[in-house]
Amino acid sequence: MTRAADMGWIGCHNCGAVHAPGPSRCRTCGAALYARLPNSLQKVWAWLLTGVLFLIPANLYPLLSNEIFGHEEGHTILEGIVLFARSGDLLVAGVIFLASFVIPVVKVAVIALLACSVRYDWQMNRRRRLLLYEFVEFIGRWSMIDVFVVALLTGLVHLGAILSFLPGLGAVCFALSVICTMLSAQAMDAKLIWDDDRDE
Amino acid sequence: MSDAPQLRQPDIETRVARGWRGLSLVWLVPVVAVAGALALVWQSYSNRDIPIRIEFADATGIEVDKTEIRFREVSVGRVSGMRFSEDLSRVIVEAEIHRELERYLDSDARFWRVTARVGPGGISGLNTLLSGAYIAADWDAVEGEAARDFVAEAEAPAVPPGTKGLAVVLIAPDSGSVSVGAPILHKGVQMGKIAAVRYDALSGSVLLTGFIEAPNDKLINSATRFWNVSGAGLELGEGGIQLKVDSLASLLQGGVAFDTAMSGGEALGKRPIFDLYATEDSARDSLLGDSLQATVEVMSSFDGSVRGLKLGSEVVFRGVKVGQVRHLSAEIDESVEGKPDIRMQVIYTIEPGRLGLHDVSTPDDTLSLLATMVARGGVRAQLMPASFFSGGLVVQLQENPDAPAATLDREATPFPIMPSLPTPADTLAVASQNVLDRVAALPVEELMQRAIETLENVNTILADGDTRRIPADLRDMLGNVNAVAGSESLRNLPEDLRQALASVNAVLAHFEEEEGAQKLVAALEELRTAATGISAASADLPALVRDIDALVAKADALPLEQVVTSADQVLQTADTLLRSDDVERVPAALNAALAQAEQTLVSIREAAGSVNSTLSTFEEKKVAQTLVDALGDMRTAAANVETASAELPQLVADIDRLIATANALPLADVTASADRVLQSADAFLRNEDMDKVPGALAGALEEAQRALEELRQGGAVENLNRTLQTASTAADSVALAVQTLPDLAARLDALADSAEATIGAYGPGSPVNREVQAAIGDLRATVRSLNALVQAIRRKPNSLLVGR
Repeated sequence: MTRAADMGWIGCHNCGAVHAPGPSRCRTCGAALYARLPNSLQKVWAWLLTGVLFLIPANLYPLLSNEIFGHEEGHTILEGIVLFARSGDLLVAGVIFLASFVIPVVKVAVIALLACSVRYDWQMNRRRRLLLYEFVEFIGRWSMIDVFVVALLTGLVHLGAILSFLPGLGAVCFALSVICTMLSAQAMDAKLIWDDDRDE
Repeated sequence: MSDAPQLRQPDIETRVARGWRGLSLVWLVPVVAVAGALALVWQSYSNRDIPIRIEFADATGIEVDKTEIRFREVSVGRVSGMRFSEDLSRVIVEAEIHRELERYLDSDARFWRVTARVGPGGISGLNTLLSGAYIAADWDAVEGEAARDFVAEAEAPAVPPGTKGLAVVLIAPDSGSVSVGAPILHKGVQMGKIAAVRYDALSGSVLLTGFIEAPNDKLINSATRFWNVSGAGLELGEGGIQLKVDSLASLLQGGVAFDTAMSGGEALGKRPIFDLYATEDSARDSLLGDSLQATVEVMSSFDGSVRGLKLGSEVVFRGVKVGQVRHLSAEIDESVEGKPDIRMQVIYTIEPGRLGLHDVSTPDDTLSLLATMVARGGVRAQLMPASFFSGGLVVQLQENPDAPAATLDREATPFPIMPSLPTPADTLAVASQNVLDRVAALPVEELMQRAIETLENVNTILADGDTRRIPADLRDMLGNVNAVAGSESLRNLPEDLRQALASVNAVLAHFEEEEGAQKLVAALEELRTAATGISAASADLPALVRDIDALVAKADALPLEQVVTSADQVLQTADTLLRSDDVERVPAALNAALAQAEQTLVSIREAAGSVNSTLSTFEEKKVAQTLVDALGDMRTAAANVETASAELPQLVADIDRLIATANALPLADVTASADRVLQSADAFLRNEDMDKVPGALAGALEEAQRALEELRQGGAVENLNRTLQTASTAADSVALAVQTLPDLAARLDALADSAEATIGAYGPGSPVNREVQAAIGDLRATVRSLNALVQAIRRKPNSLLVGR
């Protein structure tokens, strides 16, 4: 399989314009031209590690505290899921479980897998790996839905002493974790998937 | 792509570096994150909360991870767990307290549960209705030995933690409906609260913990007394009925009042202990007994009933309360064979301070004193009625020197025994019975009998015929008087008198014609000359007066008292005489004489006519002429006096000598003689013959009566009548003469003036001067009387005859 790099062509990482060898700057967007992004895998690992670190307190600390009649009560993500499940809202519990727990974990796992496969030249279907990468890119932003819900609730529901919501430390950590994993996914240069020494 | 074109080896700058150089800066991100996390972990570890354990009876309202622990309403921790104690009887609440308060967590930290509470003192903890109960904590700012296990207080302290003031412990036999939170009042102002009410099983009394807030805690000292003001009190005691109602709040939750009525209290330490008295009166009573440590309890046995004696009854010594009854019981004395003797035992206190003894400091001293009182003063305990109105009794320490010998048994247990006297019979019931007995014993019937007899006698007297005749006799007598007044002759009397006065007028006129007044004036001038002579002579008077003084002094020394005694005896004899029966007969005779006088008056009217005629004769015989002549003689006499007064000094000297002689006279003898005379008079009056005198007097009056009758019949009155007519003529003459009298008076006045001037020369203040001035005063009085006489005669000429 012939890569653009094999032809000496360089695709701009920013706008996708293909350049013949020579210029170091994109003729359309002016971005620096790299055949492959420098230090891509290091960035991936660094952001991924940070994201994982934040994921720990995000699950241990309450995501959201509600204060009813001065009585403060907070729940972590998993507690909230259990609460919904027990009260019969299995659908809601499932959605939250998927969006707030499964997806972040899966995303981290996928990025780690991709990074490893590139680093250690694992023999995997390149197309499948690309699909996985695209999936991570797509799904990653949805993880922020939890943070949005918390932000909306705390912003909108303010009934003084009767009922109010406060963002917990878990929400902040969760948001940071999501941001870190997204940056990690972005740091990954998908073209590296094709830089195998061996052809299939 | 087997036929792949010859790929131009791309000169792609991969810039993939190996080793440290290729390390990206992006690795700083996770490093910073890890460092931050580690810092947080360290911080939270170093600030970890302190676990404590609090024991509760139950866990009402306490929830793990929710229930807060608050210190001054600031959250300082949270309940972290709960478990049971080993014996399952208690709940041990595990909690975590913020680390910065660790050093204050010592053994005096207190915890209690706060829930909503509605009590008489108000509603509290309302906020816990929504947020749930919390555990309140209180500790002081003093660092002590660390403690981690606590037992929660059952009740929230009534006094807010940290309030400055003084906690006092009040001991009372019962709570008297005082509840926690009840006010402590002083003069009606709330000074604090009751913080706790607790029953002390050991002493069987109630311990109330009160808290007096600063700065009012300064009012509390050892002389302070607390008493219960709960509710309303109606007391029927020896002093009557007393109704007491304090504030409405104290009706609901009770209350305690205090006062420091006595000065000299000492400051107190922490948590002082006081008695809580049932009433203000008893509290104030106790103020006197300030030497409580010397108070003793003694016991006395009494025969018979002690009904009316109650706990708190007074122990009285000479009417002053010295203690109170503490206990009543019965005792069986089996010393008498076969007949157990039941005696009532009374245990009571005696406070030496009330006996006026302040230097007694120990109960032993007090007992020694009591023993002395019992042995020497005969002091015994005795039951006496407290007051006339109530049936209450008091224990009286009676001083009875005649009591059989006894001693204070100091060795007796449980209390020393004070010897007693049997209850006297004059307790209230007996006393009233005695009064009735005495009333019953009064001789009322005899008295009534006598009264009846007296009335009967009076009746007899009134019914007597003689008594009934008295009015008739009186009427007869008045009729006689009437007849006299209305008789013809009496009516003519004024006319006759008028004629008589006319005659007197004529006489006086004649007197004037003969210049009698001028002669009188001339005579007075002579008299004035004589007075001048007298004044010269009076130089020797002081000496004379001194002699008279001496004479008087001598007379003063005479045994006059003896004379007076004799006179007294005479009077007594006369008294005896007057009491004789004969004297009593005199009035009857007088009555008869009056009847005669009545008739005589009729005759007198006729006599007035005779007087008239007599006066006519008097005029005829130139009586006035004779008067004028007499005045002429008087003038001559005055001249002679003048001459004589020249020789007055000599005369005064003679008088002086005479008085000296008189001084030398044996006046004492004279007085003795007078005494003798009086004694003789006494003897005379005592003479039996004297007793007959009244009889004789009565006879004499009867004679007079007869004489008057004869007088009336003998026409004496007609003669008198004529005489008065003559007097009337004479009076006319006198009236004329009187008109010249003012002139005479003026001259006399002038004479007095010169006499005064003369005597003034003797110098003021000398005895002579005073004497002479008195003489002149008399002279002036004479002149005034003369003037008055003239005026009177002018106004009422007939007064010359009538004599008024």
